[in-house]
Amino acid sequence: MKKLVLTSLLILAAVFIFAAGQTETSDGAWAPDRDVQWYCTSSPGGGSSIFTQSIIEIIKTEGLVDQEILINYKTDGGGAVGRREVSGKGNDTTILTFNNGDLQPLVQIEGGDLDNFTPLAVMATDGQVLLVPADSPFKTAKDFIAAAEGGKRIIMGGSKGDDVNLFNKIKEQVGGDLEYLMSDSTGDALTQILGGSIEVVIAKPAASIAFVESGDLRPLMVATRDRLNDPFDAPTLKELGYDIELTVYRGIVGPKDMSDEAVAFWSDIFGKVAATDQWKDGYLKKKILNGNHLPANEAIGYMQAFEDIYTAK
Amino acid sequence: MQRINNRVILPFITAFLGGVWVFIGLSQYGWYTDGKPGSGFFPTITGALLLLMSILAVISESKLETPKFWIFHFHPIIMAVGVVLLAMLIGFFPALTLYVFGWLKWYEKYNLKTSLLATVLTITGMYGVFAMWLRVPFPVGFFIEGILR
Amino acid sequence: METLQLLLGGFVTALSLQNFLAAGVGAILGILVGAMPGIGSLAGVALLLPLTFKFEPITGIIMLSAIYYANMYGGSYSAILLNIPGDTPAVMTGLDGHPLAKQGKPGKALFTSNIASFIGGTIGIIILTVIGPGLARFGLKFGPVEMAALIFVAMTSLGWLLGDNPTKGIITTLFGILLATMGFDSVIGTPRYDFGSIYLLGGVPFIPLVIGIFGFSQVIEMMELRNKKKGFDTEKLTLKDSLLTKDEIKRILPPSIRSSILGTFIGVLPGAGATTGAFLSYMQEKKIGKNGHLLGTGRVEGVAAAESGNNSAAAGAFAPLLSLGIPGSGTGAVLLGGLMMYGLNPGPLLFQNQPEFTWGLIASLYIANVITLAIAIMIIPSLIKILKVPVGIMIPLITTICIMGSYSANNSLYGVIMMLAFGVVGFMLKKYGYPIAPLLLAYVLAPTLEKNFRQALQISDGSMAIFFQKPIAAVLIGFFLLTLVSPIIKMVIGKIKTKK
Repeated sequence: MKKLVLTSLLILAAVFIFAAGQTETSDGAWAPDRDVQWYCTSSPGGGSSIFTQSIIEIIKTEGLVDQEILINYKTDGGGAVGRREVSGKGNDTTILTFNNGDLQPLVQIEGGDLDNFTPLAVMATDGQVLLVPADSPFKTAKDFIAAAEGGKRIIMGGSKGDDVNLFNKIKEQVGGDLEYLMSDSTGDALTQILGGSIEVVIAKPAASIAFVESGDLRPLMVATRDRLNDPFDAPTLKELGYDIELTVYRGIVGPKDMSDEAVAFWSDIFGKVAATDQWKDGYLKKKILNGNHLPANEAIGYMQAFEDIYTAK
Repeated sequence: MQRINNRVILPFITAFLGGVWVFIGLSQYGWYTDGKPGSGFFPTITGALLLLMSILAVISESKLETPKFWIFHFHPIIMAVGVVLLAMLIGFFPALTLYVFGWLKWYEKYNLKTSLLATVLTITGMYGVFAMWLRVPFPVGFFIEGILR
Repeated sequence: METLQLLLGGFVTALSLQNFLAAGVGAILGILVGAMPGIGSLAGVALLLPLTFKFEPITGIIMLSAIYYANMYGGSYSAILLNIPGDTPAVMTGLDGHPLAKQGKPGKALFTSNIASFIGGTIGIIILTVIGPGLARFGLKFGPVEMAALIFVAMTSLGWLLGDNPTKGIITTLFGILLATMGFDSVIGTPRYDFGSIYLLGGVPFIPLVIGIFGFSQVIEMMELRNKKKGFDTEKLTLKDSLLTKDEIKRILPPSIRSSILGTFIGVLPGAGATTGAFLSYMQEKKIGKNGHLLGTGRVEGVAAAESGNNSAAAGAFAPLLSLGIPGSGTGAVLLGGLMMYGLNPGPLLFQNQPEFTWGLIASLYIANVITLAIAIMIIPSLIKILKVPVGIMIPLITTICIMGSYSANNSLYGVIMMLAFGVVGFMLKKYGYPIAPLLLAYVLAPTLEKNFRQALQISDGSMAIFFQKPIAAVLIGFFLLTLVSPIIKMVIGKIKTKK
């Protein structure tokens, strides 16, 4: 019995010493006093997670935040659960990656409102691209359109939110017997197309660039206003004659009741991140996004404009 | 009247749940939508099967003996609920400390030294792992929060 | 062979003193975290991840893989000793592990678990090394149709094979599925069976469910043992007693090897992880093992099958992770994030672009495996001592762990309440003779089954025929029908024989 007690004490001591090394202190203006919970509503491997992780990496390298930042993936219900948790139970150290893909279902399906959140920043705008496997019968965008207009059944896939939106628009305007398999994130959808379960995938450059560079996938067309850089140089839907042009913004929000000091803090941090070379070259350029940093006060208006579009439908 | 075997309570409950699931599944969530299974498809089938199997179980279970339940079985539950309520008042760790110590000293009748030692080991271990290492934010309790404000 | 050369190069990297130590520390932490109920491998890896950032990339990655790996070892310990699985795959280990402990042979169970984990891991890593990328590509062929077929076949075996009474087993399986349908419809995204409660909207929280149904129900059961005021019948168990006899070693080799191969393959599949690996390996052993029919009563073969199944699946999950950048499970996703933080870009070009990193990682998996085994064996005697703690102390201790664990899952008291509720449910199930393992497994597998099934029908535009048109799915369904029909055929043949 004595030995048991002794060993337990030793283990406890070790745990304490270990844990003590983990706790940090910070002083000065408002700063997080505990671990930051960063929620992400798409599963890892997709654009949202890459976005989140890239920012956290820069924050760490630049030493902008002392506390640990933990990513919390809450993909249930198309992300609804994660959004609800942040708006309902969040505090100053809770933040959420928030794109159109979150805003749209929030206001259209879940009966939510942008007012449930406090925008902290807009960081970039992303674009959507349709990809096919290297050996696909669709050699060019025109092949796809011809097939769709001819009523051929085409199985498509992608993530939730904005990808669904794009699909619906395409189905509306191009027509055809199009079916959409919704996945928790672009990563899962990419698995499906590589395995041959779907024929066309809607994705964004960041998540799919590895497969384009390796030759597994080919970009067919893009949904942005202008053509994208290599290797995503493909015709835009506008060029092909369709009035479809979607911007995907990537932003970050906090809960509704986030304190003003916290908002100022985070807005400032993200501004710093956006100014680094690591962000500009390592993320934006590499993953083919457009930098578009807006601090908290401007982000509100920007996101509000989107909300108006979504609620007007 | 023959004493009803308390064994059948369980299959009755599962039968009930099965039925509820079927009902809600069909009326609210839709069996097939657009030619493909809808929200209610899967749960309804599950509920229906559950209902069926539960009825079979009721029949076979009623032939068996009743297992014994003692009151003491419920003690941990009552204590745990009490701890949770207490935790909301005075905070998680104080409540747990009281619980462990109290249980060991007065329920299990260990002497003071053993009770104290076990309590200290347990609570500090838990604290070290959960609060310090894993940084889980534990409620500090109504009263303490009030004092801190 | 070029692969071998690259691998050896990887070993050189991995065997530097610093990296070696990192693997060692990672192994210890991993076992600790894995053993604690309530902190599954997902949370454990996620929490230890930031720790690894303090080191330089290769060292950090090595430490991370060691942690991931060792987690698989640790989970089985509390399952064997206390019947409280430390993580989901350990549920299968406990099915035979705990009875063994109760029979006074905990050391043997622990030892078997370690050896089987090692074999599973080694075989898994070897397969990974040799045909990793190719295997990953093959795994991709398992789209919604194939996965639905696979999981369907798996689930139907659940009720039958676990526990003595098929009816009760089926009831718990169905109940598990029912619980899984609560919350959100994963395909469409609309709320379902939430009964208007904002808490239930997220579904039944997983970790409190596990802790409650296994852990807390165990506590309630322990109340009956209080009168004996001492722990299990352990007497003086030394390391020597834990060693396996020659016969036992011979008996555990076939299941370990079989399960390792099956497990690695399962780990490669998208959406199937260590839990499915352990589960299917156990099923396999039960069906085709020499002593399969005895599984569940305390056989080392059962422990071996489950443990090598889950460790090899963990290794197998690295295949799609590294060669495609696609995580096979939640834990894999955290690992992916970690690897990306290090500048590693998992994807088809990883092996070409960053070979030293990749092979260093793979080599470190081997090393982590060996180190974890050594440490695990060393602590067996101390683990056994846990059983000596009197029941009276165990009760509040475990209750405390249960409460803390279920709170930590979602940082909410709601989790604790769920845990308590399921504790009562679990206790009642046990008392009435219902097997609870199928409930948990069904709960884990049901959402994947439903999602894949409905997506499969989306592809086929509503036609069920697709399950017979796609080759892999057709094979699986055919296999399933065969197993359904075979007992009947046997009976008929038997009757014909007796008639003659």
